[in-house]
Amino acid sequence: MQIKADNVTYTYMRGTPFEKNGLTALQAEIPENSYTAVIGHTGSGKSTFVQLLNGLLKPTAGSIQVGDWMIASDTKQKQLYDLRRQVGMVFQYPEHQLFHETVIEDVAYGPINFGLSKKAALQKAEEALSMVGISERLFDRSPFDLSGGQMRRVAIAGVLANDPCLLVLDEPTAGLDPQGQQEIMSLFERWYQADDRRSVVLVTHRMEDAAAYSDQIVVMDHGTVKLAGTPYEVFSQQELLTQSGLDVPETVRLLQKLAAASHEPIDALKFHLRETVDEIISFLGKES
Amino acid sequence: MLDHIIIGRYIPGNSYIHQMDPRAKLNCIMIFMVFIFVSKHPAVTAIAFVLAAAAFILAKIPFRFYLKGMKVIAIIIFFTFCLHLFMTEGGPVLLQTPVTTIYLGGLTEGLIVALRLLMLVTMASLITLTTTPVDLTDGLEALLKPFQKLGLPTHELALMMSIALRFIPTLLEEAVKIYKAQMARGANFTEGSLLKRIKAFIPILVPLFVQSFRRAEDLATAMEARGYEGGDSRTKYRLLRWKRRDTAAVAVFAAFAVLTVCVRLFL
Ligand SMILES: Nc1ncnc2c1ncn2[C@@H]1O[C@H](COP(=O)(O)OP(=O)(O)O)[C@@H](O)[C@H]1O
Ligand SMILES: [Mg+2]
Repeated sequence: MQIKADNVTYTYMRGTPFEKNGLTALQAEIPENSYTAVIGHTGSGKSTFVQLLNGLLKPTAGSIQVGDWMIASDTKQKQLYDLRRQVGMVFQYPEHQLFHETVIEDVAYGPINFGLSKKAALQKAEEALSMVGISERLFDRSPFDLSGGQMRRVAIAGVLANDPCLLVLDEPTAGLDPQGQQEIMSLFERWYQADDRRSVVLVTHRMEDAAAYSDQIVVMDHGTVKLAGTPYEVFSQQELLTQSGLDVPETVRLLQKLAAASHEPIDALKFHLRETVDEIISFLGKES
Repeated sequence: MLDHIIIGRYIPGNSYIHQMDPRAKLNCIMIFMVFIFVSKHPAVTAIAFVLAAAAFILAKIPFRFYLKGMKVIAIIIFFTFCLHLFMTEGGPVLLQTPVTTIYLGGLTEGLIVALRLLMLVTMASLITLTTTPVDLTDGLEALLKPFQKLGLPTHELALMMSIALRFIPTLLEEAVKIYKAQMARGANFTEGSLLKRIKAFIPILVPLFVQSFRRAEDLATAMEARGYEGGDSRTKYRLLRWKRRDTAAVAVFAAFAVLTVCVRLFL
């Protein structure tokens, strides 16, 4: 789904002494069927921004267009119901939303809410669970008996079971070990690739993930968009990134160090391990 | 949605009330809460209202913020008012309809009860709005000291209270997060029959309980790991200091107490 934010301001705790702007006159555009990473320092407004995408928050001023929906401060909750079926949202620590007695019923909660029959919802739940790699013998267990990683998967399945066309991920790998992070990220990658009408918006503070998975990057700073473009465009603006308290991915840093130490011209803007290795091999070839 | 809940929230400030000793504040509140019930005389209610209003103005709480925080409570107060208005008989008839009759007695009774409720809630909120949880705990502990001889674990009680207060905002935040997550999964809290709407809250309450237990366990572990031990051997970094303004405030409320008793006895 195409997303267009026009002059969006969001103020938390409006009318209290704690009033605080989460977003200030934000201007952003995210193309259809893309994988977009939103990066930025803590408190830059990433979470606030993505919560606007399914109307969980409504702009205090300005408006945001998500697919066919237009969300402004006066949009009614009722109108947003259909939007929520289209936009799946995985929050930070999504396992905190589990509540049902069994894994399968928890995953079926969303589809039932969105009007599926119990039977069809359970069918959806089974599909989603097998997609996230939860084996059938866990379906009737309590979600609270599972390991942390498994709970996270079940929670994610609960979102995927709704068949969204836009999947919003707010730091979905926080608190997982490196292998767990890798698995979850490639799970989303598989979901995204499976159908070319799907879009992903990924909030992350790991530059490596932004570089490796996304085709668009939005850099946020102090509640506005500081920079946007392809990973190549964004990570070549190292100075702007540093100003926003961000860094370039590890692969880029490695090649930059190699270039600096050897005084050889090396193209440092490589975002995948494969490309980085190739670059190093070709450098070694020149050396000998 | 829950942005405007004011119970258990502290607003930093430097007002007269902010600077009072927590023990003085607690004393005043207790006197107020007990003696407002001594007499139903309109004059007593009026004076109590003046006291509460003065305390509120001195605390310099932003009025708009207070109003928004009172929204839910206003519903309860209004309901109570109506109950008294329709149920109390006495005095001249104000309005006669085939369904009910409204008496002057009902009107005054309703007004007094509603005002009392409003004042009680306001005064109780003022305490937490102007006192940091740490000060509040110290104040409570100091006030409970006399009961220690009777075997009451005063330090532990005060600690429990302050932990509870400390976690109200955290719990609210957590509740909002879970609420949003379930909304994103299509939960609907505003439509359907009453039973359906109550049921819709289960997906919020269960995770909230699970989280609270986990948090409590973590806190207990952290305290134990750092060798926390209450009781007499524990000294305090910050000491409470009673000033003249505290004596003045308590004196005013004591005068109010005497007045209510006099009105009750002689009018
Ligand atoms: N519930 C809230 N109440 C008040 N302020 C908030 C709330 N949530 C976020 N903020 C503020 O809004 C700003 C943006 O926060 P957020 O969108 O969570 O940033 P990020 O996700 O990039 O860390 C921060 O300054 C934060 O303090
Ligand atoms: Mg965030």
